[in-house]
Amino acid sequence: MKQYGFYLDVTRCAGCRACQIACKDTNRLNVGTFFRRVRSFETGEFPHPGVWHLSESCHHCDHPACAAACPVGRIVKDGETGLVVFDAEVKCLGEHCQRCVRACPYRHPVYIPARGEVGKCGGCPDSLREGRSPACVESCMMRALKFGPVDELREKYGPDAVTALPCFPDGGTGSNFLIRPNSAARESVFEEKHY
Amino acid sequence: MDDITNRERLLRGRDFLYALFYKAFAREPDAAFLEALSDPGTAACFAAFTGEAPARLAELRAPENGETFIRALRKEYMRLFVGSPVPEAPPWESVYTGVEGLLFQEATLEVRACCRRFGLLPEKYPHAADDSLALELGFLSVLSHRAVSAHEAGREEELRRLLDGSHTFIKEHLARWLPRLMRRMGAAVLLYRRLARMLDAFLKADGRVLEKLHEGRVPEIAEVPEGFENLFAALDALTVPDAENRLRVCEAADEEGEGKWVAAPCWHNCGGKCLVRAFVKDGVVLRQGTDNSSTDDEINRQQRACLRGYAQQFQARGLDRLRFPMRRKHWIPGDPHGELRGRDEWERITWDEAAQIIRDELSRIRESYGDNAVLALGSQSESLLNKLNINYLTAWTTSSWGTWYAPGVLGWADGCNFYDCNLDRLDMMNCDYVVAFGYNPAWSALGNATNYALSWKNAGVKFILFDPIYTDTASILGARWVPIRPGTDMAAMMAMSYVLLEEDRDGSLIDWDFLERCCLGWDRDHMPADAKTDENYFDYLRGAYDGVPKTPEWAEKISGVPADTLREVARVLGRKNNVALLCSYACARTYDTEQLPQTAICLAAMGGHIGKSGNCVGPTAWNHTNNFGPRLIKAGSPGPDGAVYGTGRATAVCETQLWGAVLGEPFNPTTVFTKINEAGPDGWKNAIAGCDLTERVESMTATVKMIWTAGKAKLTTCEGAKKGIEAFRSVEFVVGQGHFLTATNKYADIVLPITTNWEREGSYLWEGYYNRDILLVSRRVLPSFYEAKSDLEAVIAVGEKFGLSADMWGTVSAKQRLFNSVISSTVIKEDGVNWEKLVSVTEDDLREWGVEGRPQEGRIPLRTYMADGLYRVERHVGDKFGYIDKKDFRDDPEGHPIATVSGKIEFACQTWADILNSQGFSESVYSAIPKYRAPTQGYEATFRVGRPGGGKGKYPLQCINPHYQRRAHSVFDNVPWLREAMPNPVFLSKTDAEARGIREGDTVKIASPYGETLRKACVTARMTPGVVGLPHGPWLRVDEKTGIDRSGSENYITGQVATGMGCSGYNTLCVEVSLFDGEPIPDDQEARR
Repeated sequence: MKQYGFYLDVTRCAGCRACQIACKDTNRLNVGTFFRRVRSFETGEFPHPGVWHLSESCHHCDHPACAAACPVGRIVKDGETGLVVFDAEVKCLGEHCQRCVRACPYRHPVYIPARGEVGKCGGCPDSLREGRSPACVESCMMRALKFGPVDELREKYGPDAVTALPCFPDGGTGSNFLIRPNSAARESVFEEKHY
Repeated sequence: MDDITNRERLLRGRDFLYALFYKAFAREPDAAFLEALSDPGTAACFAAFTGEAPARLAELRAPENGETFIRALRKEYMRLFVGSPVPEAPPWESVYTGVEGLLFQEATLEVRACCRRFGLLPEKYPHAADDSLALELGFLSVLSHRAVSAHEAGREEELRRLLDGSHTFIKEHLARWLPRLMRRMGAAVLLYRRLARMLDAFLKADGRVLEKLHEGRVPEIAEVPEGFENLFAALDALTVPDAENRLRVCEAADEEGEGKWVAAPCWHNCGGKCLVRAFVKDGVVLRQGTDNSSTDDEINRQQRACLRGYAQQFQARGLDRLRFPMRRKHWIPGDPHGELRGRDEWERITWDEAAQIIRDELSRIRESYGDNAVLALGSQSESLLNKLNINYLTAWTTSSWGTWYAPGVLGWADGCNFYDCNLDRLDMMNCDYVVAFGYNPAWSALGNATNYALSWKNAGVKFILFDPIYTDTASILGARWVPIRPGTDMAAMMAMSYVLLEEDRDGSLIDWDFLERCCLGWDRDHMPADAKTDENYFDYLRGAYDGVPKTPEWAEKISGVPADTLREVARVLGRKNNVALLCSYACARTYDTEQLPQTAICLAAMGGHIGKSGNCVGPTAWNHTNNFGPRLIKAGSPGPDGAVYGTGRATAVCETQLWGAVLGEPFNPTTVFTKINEAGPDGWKNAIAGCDLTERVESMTATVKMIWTAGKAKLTTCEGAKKGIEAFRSVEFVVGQGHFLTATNKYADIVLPITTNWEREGSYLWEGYYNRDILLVSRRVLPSFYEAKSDLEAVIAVGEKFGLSADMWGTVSAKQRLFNSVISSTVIKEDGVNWEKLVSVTEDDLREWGVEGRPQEGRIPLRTYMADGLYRVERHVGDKFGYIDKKDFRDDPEGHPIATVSGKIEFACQTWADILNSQGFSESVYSAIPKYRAPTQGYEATFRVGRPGGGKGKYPLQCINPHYQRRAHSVFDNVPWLREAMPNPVFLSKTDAEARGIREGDTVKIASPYGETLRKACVTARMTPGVVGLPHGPWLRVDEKTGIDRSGSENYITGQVATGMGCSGYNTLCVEVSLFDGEPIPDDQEARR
């Protein structure tokens, strides 16, 4: 099995949120529900500010806490891609369970009231079957977001990539989301902003 | 009773009840319906199924105040299910089971498939959504009626199929979403909440009945009473529902069509011009995508869409789209109650009624008031007035360009209509530096503009960006950010020119050879022949005319840029570096900067940054995606359309005087500015031909009684919206048309629903107005939405009421014209000189299109081009497609003069001064050389005495309007996903916020001399202190009690200020910001309009 994952080049990202909207489109999500979300951070003081944006979805961890927490075994690692996906045969326990939602250190799986079940990023299986990338990656205006086998991403985009940052502690679950930070993203004093 | 009789009763009973519920939800209520509803037979039948008697049905029969009651019921029905245009309880399944806020989704197709299997389709297929409450009930009603017939004829198999089909449909559709619909009906206390509960109970009961019947048993239920014939007759006698709520019979079909990806390019003018793709099945967009063609590298980029492109489905199928024409309730011809515009109620009318009203009003107003009584904003309404031989007013504007509107006089292209300026994007890699003023494609254009700039950075180019905001562009490009006050760029540029002059001791900074050969007006010895004085630029810089040398220290006081920084950047601009000096439209959208382009050109010319590789000076307009030069692929011509023209002609009013003109104030009817940016850099010569530039234009007035606005969103995008509302309310009749009840349409009397580009035959979108490497094309993506017509069809509908034939607008079909354009399109060959046809056409193509034409050879098959929606000329470094503006001129100025009077670069441009002085809006006299003037509403105006020093005045901050990623101008402001993604705050510097006790997220009031608006504060280190960033384009939402706008509309607080060339001065505005002590505003994602 090759483990697939995402890579974000923060130095390129303009915070445009096309990935977030493409994800909503593909997964038909309402306002309030995200499988991918972009957050913005600011550092420094005038006239030397810094800015960066974090486009985050499922980390498709090696040891997904959500899967471990699911009492019915609905969340599984895909045998071919290592992506964290649902077993279609198993029904979600719904609103009153949500143990996966609480277990994930990256707050990824989300409960969807209109569907009565938990949803999450599945890596756009339709696109992958056609040999394409997930919708978020295909939509990335600045080509900051990539998807592929994690070892290949690491090799291609260099050893600069990290899986934790000051605003973004490591969840201890073997994250497969690589980030190339810009200088602002490395600063320990930061503020989340809603630009 | 035996089983057969019992089953017959059951089937008849449900037949009756479905017919009743269908009629209940498919049409407005009336007395006859109430009669049937309140008949004891109805109650008995309902009770037989549900085991409960419906509450108080009898009281509906004959209330004391019959007519009044029925009117109230009708109102409830309209409010809940029809809306104006958004119903309170949207009666479509998609809204509840798919993405909220969208019609035509997966559920629509599922319902359609169900109907098709039984040989039914909506009468308005594919324009009306199949999954409406009325149509779903209509479907069940038809099936239950057929079930009775099947039973009577003993067709058991058919009966079973009908009952099973109904059962599945109820379970999978109606019963699934009806409870969610009911939750939206809280306020429907008169009738509909009750009816919905009855329906819910009946569906449950019928589900049980059908289950039993499926198992071959006849359920034991209370006896269904006899005597339905009368009640059926009563239902039959009711008027038929609206067409959108009726089904028709079609050929039954089991198979469903396949969905496919189609090219659906974005049509908005953000400048991106990107390839959206849509996955469409039977007229329904199921999801979107973008350019995923194989190559995407640093040089050849896919034309990927942005967040707005991905939300295009909300433009085409949003719940808030106009579905039918509407009329404002209290508007009466001749007694318009104009003060109610923007807050009145709406009534649904037919297209025929709308066209008749417009015809009658146009005739009445023409007869009563004569010429110029109509202000027409939008080319289609203008076309009708022209054909009716009515003289009218329209608007002209510099709104995009700012003072880059007419640089032709200076020998430059404007960068929008004409793009032979600056450098090809690959040549930009040869720069050492890009020095730019207000340069933020990451927010203003999206698409590839920022990617191209990043490719220059990766090639080693360094960026120095003057901007009041530390932009994402600056961050991505690793730029040196030079914070600067709005409207002061000229001062900074002049100071840098001064430094070049001062420090050029050994000829290391100034390109004297270039000045000598190619420029005039820079010193006393090199004056153009037409100069009326000997004023020259260098002496001005030295202070010869006003005693003020334009030193960096002088500029620092104005611009806030430290003198040392200006010195450093000036040295960068010396002749030894290759520099692109780029000046955005944003810094030119300021008052009294008519000589800003000239100032920039002078600065670049001094360093010789013109006409050679890696050097240029000019405007940055995002229309061309950071990629300048002649097009490499050209759209062809649609050919003659056979349209007939009348004699009605327009007098154009500058937008900065527009609302005043409507209110009867004098305006400047210059014809020079309206024509000066047409027809290329040479166009100014035609514009002034026959004009006496020694005489000032005399002002005039008009009596405007009607406004017809067609898709122009002027109350959002034109300055002085508060006065604009006053103007709208002052006239007798207002027509609006568009996709939504926009801020502008809200103030109309009649609004017409218009199709989006996705619903039209297809087009070359903004032909030529984008990246020179690509050419986008589109075909129809979707059928039209409900009753929407194109702008053209709308005016033709009105024209027909005047007896004008549709042929007057052209006799060639839209499809033929598109075809003509595509087949005559050409693409450059690899040699960079010769051209070939873009597409090959076969006999098959001609048959498929059904158009006239001949087969031809071209680079790619027509079919491929139309399917891709895009052709891209592949580029590589060193290809033959490069462009360097004014290279010929620099190499041989006499052989290749530029379009100025002298043929050289004019530091002293007498013609421009003469145009400003004769045609302009200012009393003050312009010189031929650029001179800094303190802008109206600029930094200087923030002080009590109107110049730095002493205390600050009442409006101590400067406000600018950054373009905002969530919108393309005003478009997309209504899209829920985008409102959630970006909250549209007002940007405040930490210094200014702290001084006012404002914290992140506080609701603040931004007040100017012209109006007040509210926003939540975003307190940021990225804003220059003293500057406030209020994003451009929200749909205004005025609180009628306080007169304060709650949407953050930037133009509600700009004024109608006409100075200089009548330039729109959006980025020069003095404001104060304070904590708002009234009701805080909700987050934008919650603020529904």
